[in-house]
Amino acid sequence: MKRRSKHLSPLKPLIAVSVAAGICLVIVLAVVPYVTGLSDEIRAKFDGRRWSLPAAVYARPLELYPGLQLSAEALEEELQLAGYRHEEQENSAGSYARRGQTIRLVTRDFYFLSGFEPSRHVGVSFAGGEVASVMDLESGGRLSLVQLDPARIGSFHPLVHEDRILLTREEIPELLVKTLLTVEDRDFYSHHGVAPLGILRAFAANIRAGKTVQGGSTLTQQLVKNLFLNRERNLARKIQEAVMALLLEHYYTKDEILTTYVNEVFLGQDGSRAIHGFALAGQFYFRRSLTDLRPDQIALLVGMIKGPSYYDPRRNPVECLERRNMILEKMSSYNLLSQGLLDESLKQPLIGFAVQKGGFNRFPAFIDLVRQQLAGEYREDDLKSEGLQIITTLAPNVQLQVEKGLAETIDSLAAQPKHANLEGAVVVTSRETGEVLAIAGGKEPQDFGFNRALHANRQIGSLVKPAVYLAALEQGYSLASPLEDFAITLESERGAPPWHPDNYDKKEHGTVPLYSALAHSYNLATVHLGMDIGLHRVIATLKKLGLRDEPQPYPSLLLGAIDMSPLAVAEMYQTIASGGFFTSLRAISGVMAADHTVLNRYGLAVEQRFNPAASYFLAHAMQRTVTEGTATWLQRTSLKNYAIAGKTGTTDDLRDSWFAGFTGDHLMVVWLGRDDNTPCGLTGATGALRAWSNIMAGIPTSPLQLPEPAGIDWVDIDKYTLRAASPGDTTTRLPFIAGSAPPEEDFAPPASEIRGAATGFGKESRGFFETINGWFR
Amino acid sequence: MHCIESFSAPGRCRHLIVSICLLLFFLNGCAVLQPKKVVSPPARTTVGKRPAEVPAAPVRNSPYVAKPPVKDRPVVIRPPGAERPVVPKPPVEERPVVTEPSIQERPVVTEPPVEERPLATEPPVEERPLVTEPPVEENPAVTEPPGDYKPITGRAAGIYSEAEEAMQAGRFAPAEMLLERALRIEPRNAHYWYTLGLAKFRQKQYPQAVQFCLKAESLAGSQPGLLARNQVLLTQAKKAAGMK
Repeated sequence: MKRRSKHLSPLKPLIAVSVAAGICLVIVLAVVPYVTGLSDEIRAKFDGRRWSLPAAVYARPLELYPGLQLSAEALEEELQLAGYRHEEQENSAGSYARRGQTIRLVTRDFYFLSGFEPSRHVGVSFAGGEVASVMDLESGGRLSLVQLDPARIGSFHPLVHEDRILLTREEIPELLVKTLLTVEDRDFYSHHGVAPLGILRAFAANIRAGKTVQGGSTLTQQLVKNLFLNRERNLARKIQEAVMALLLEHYYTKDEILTTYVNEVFLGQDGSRAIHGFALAGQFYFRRSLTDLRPDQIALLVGMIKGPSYYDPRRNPVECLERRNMILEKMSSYNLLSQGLLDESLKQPLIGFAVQKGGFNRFPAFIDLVRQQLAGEYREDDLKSEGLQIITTLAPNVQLQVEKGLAETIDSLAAQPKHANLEGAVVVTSRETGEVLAIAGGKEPQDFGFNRALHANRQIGSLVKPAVYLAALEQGYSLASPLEDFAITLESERGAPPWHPDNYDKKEHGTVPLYSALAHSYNLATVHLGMDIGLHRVIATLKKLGLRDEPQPYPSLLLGAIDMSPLAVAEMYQTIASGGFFTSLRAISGVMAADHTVLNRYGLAVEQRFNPAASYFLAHAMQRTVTEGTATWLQRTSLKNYAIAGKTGTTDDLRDSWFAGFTGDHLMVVWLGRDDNTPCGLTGATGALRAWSNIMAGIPTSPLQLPEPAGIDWVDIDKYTLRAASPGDTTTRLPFIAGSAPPEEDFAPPASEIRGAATGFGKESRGFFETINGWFR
Repeated sequence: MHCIESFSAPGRCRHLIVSICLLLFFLNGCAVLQPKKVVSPPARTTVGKRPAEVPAAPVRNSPYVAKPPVKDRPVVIRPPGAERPVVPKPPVEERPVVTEPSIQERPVVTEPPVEERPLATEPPVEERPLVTEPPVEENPAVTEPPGDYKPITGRAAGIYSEAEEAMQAGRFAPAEMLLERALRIEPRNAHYWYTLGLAKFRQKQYPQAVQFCLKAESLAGSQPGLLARNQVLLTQAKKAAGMK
């Protein structure tokens, strides 16, 4: 050795340096691109996570006022849905307490479309299923109205079934920060991403304890791990994480890293939805915002970091409790907790109430519609990353009743084998404003599959008839106009077999008044009427009502050989229900940006499309559907005094069962049938009407009072002669345009004269005999 | 490597240490060599914070930079038909047509149904000597017929009076929102619909003003005071909208 060194000693430093330089050069050439690549990757991830905020979707805010039809139970349900905590004493925002028929609550700060409203402490008392009074508990005064912050019902996020509630550094409670650092990374503020001393310390502690009690990873390293979601644990990964941690520390401040960590750390699983971030975890496990968490709750969450599944309080409460208490002790030993607070915290139970799903992702069918309505205005990417706030029109109390009523009805109907495999769809809107209050896409509300309310295009059958009759009424027909319910054969131009429609009961009913033909849904009379006024008029009426398609002018259209979704049907019936005013159905009230500026407000907008008298007559005839027609079953329910107007719909071979009807406040369309379009064996009255009634009976609504236009006469009409008569057994009282009621006469003039009697808006009217001749051509 | 083997033992250790140090140095140096990214995007606030300036379109801000809260909250409301600052929609044929998101896409005035209605009896102008019609383009004020008229309000009276205040203060867009809230509670209150028509009129949205007046009329029943006022507004709105 001495000899070697003697020989090489003058060259030694030179060789050494050049060799070292060579090694370093090689390493640099390999390392630089590697590090550059990692640097780009980690920065993209970090920034991408920081900047992407999902769009939050909210239900309609509930307005509480004296006289509102709402029970205490219903309010509790709404509050639970909105994530309010039920406590003995309502102490902080987002909590409520109930004493008998009084509920005291503290609302949360919220930015409504109309502006910011701060948290309020209110008391609501109930009597007779109604709100009796609303008090401001701070001032002791009565309130005429209080708007509750709405329930969050969903979000649009790039990753499926994930969500975040992002916090700024200031919003993170200090106790949480200190606990986090104490437990996970004591030298956070002094290391540069990797802490060799920390590793050594953990190593020593683990050996001393005989098992793993401390992790050597810094928060930065853990953040890197979280951002990549890659569960591979090998050496290459570890090195990669270490390098990325160093890079993160270089590019971002300690505060930024800490904040992102608090917002990103994985803290459990809720079905298919991952809970990331302390704020969301606080909401999910404790229904509290982060600032309201107690020390023991903070300790529990921090404890879960090490193993969210293993320390899940729902699944392993014993281990969870043990770890929580260990952390509490540690907090105390580092003077983060006083002795008294420690004792109190150790005594706290694990979780105050059973973790349950709040309103979140609870109404996929409605969110579907929201997404559809937004698609026209916003790109999917904007929706998923801009942090928009979308206030919708969903009324949770109505929605829950819809789901319950539909499921119950289908279950009871499908109990009979001939009605097996039944599915359904429901749409409920506000009668005057056109806001969509509830959507059911199927029997299973939580099913993320086929949304029948929006996408099941089924034949509407008799539901088309009001369009035919409305067209007639606008042409000058009256409710007493005689219609011919006789057999009819219609030739087809293309050499197809002639069409031979039939009534449901296979009978001919002779000459019948118009209102009766609609109330009893006579097919033959409707076909006669439709051909008389002209298919083009019927189609024009359908489009004025809101139909967006262009139906073919075949006579079978008069009996509903046209496909529509329940939502499209609802939009048409909305025009009828609102007295002839078209309003497009809205599921969204408005959209706000992440900073709460209003980007878009979908306000009320109506358009009068039918004259008020014709609309009034039609609605009156539809009321008779319930009092004497195909929907008399409603008279046997609790809804009999609500003067409901409606229309049953049944299709060929009983494949579809429909009912569309409205009360004073609500319009509801129900469809029942089978997905494979085989006969379900139900008519509109025996199927959809039952579900309709079941649902509506549970919704607080008001009786229907049709607004009577000026210039209307009520006249007693004999049902057989269709002439005015003195009130008697065979008469009924009908509204007419003033001066156009059929007079009392001994002879019956030709029908064409009756039709022409109503003046002012009759355009052409084909003569009666011309019409008959036309059929026999 | 044989070069290292040829070194003396203490020299070998020394150079190994030097190489490791150089490696670590270069590792760190590579990071140093990268230009430091300018990490200061425009400030963005999270839920719960308001920005200092509020642009019309959403701005990407850092959630980690504190912003002072601001008193005023500018409300950006686009009237129907206004320019939309978003990406163009796909052509109509491709859209699954069930419902359209807002009434803004629909032509509000299609065929004037007015001619077909024999009901709205408009008294000839001579019988209403007190109605003045100011030039609508400059000053969309509505002079109302005299006579005491007390609007009928129900459970939404509180909200309605707020709306009235907003109307008088000239804040018509907020008044609209309040009226819509009132209408959710009392959907058939003709006076609220009339006031909504007035709000639209004041914002020069005449076609929609006409429609709200028609709606108010259909619900006014036998309230002569309201009907008269409504008729005046309706006439003026129709004229301004260029309808017959």
